[in-house]
Amino acid sequence: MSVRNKKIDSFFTIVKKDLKVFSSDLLVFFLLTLVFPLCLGFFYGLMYQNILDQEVNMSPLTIYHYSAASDPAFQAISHTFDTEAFSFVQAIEVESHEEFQQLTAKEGVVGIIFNDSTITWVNKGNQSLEKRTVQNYLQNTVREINLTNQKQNLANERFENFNPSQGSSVYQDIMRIQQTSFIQKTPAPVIHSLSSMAFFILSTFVAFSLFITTNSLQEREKRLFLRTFATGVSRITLYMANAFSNFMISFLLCLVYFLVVFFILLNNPVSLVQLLLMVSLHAFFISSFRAMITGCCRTDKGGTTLSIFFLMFMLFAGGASFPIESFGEVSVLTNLAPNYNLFKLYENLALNQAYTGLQWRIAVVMIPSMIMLLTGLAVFLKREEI
Amino acid sequence: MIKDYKLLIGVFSAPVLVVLVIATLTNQSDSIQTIKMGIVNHDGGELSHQMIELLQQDPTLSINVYDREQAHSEYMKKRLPIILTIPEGFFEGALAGEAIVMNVIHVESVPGDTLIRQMEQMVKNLLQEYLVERSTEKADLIHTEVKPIRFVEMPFVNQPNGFMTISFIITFMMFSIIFLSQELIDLRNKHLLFRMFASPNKPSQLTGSLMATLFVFFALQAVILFWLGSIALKAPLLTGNLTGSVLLLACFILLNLSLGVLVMRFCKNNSMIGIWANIIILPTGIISGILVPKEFLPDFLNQIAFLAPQYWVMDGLQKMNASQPVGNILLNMGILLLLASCVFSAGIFRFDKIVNR
Repeated sequence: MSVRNKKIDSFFTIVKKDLKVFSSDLLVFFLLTLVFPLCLGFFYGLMYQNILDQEVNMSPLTIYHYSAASDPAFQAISHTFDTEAFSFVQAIEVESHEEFQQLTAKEGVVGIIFNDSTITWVNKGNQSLEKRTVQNYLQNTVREINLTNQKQNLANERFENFNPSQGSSVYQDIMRIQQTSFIQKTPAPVIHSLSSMAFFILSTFVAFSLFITTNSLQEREKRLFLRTFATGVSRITLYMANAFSNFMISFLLCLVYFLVVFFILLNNPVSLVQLLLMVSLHAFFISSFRAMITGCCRTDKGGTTLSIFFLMFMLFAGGASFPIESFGEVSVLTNLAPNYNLFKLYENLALNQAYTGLQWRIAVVMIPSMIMLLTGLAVFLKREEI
Repeated sequence: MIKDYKLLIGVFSAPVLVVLVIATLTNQSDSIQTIKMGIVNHDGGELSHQMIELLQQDPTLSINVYDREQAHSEYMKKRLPIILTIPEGFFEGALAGEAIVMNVIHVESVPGDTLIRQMEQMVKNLLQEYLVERSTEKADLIHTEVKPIRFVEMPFVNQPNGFMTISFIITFMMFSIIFLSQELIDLRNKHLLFRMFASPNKPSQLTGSLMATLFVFFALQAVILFWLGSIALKAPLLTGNLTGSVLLLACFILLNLSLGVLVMRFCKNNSMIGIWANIIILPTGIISGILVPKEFLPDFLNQIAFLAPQYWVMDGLQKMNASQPVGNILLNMGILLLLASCVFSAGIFRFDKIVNR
């Protein structure tokens, strides 16, 4: 057998062995690297739903109101609560002041008393968006009523038989303004984006996929590598075979995860060719990272510590654990985090958008991956000198 | 058990520290949710600036002024749910009687109609006040004998409700599952459980005695957490009907200890306990609305909140804090005790198989 054939044979034997060892722990890996990130993504998705979907829900607000006023303008105010703008308000009219006091004595209750000279706002609890909205409306209405009353009174004083069309021009202008609508709702452009659940199901997995690996570090710790070298396998062959095993395993697990996520959970079929390319890039990143860990760390514990350090970077700087984009433009650090770039590429895939202008994101994943692979190799060759 | 410093640290120090931090950070009673709004001001006049100032004073809104492209970009990135565009010469045109309007775009998830209504009112007030201000009749208007209506806000001192602090205490109390399981697994691994089982003691007596010891620990933990939480929050966490609250918390501790027995059944060693405890605590915490506020959760989760024990504890404590009679939490206590007895029975079922694993 030629040297070249022997090397290839050794390479595939090591890969076969790695896959076999990995498959013996498949259930644990399945739970740790697929099910756990999925659950965590679901959890984050729920937690940050309102931030990502910009959801502001007006909770129902019960308001007791009692009127001792003769001015019909006050009647109009309580009728406003029946309109669409105040659909969250349930206004309950109370017949007597005693009843009102009784009802509003409890903690958390809101009420309004209309008198000819005052509008009294009673809030026996914490401030809230709903309460503050109604309070603002009442304050503006008071200004409006005062202005109208002033004008009306002046007009009555001046003209005994006042005719608005012939009377004061300011009065006419005020009436015109009162009757005109100055704000128009324009149809909003449609925003194509991932739901909060989809966002975190993708981003959390990309970060946690770092832990997809063979048991090579444990083998190194138990000095099993030395036995392998004794069989004539070179250091480069062992290192590269291990990196390739990691690539195969991560490719398969990522593919399973994304097939399940896109085609079943999100019901969002994507282009299979693009998905395969994306998963290959993702697997290359994972395998390079794991190869670097194998090359640089002598013990399993050391490898886990370094992996957790990288995981923390990805969770926070790379925005895998919170909606980083919702707080403004992302920093350079985030743009350099491979997990963020991988996530953006998957996001693009999920939204069926063109990949124009995203080549640099691919480069940001490829270049550090290459550096990690080669760094790991250099350190491995140095440390495993026989 | 008292000599086990790790247990003591786990039960007392960490929860105390976290509860103190949470209570201190959440003792502000009047913070409200705000809605982000962007304004594109093409008008640039005095009235438009006045309007922006007025909107900025509204505590329900978080206002920023953008140019058109910036606002559009922020909207598309889901960072700006509402954009108000004031067109060029809007206020002059409106005063001159021209048909001119401001444009609002908003995402469906914010109460757009309510905000439009408020802004409409604000614009009209500004225009009308401006007209009066520059009118030749201003002096007459000021001297007009009209008694203005006043808006009066009835003073009320709000107490912080301590919801977050209570939520954390309930969550920590649930983590007592871990400590009982650890004790039982340690006993099992040292074959002590097997030896005890060989004596005339029944499984319920064996686990029950351990549970009774830990019950004292966790009752003490609860007292300390609620006491220190109240001090840090500067408001009592338990008010109103204290007897009811104590009874409810006792039922909850019993349930947690029973869960500890059940978790021991599933775990071969101590390292598995954390996983099982989290599998129980996190999902029930989420659906009960104590880890994530109910407003953030989808409706279907709110509808199944009753499945979580934490829901019954929080609901009961809120009833007791509102000074309701103990009779109103009988259902809450009954459900917690029923759950405890079911879980405990499941935990000690075929005990002989567990003791010698």
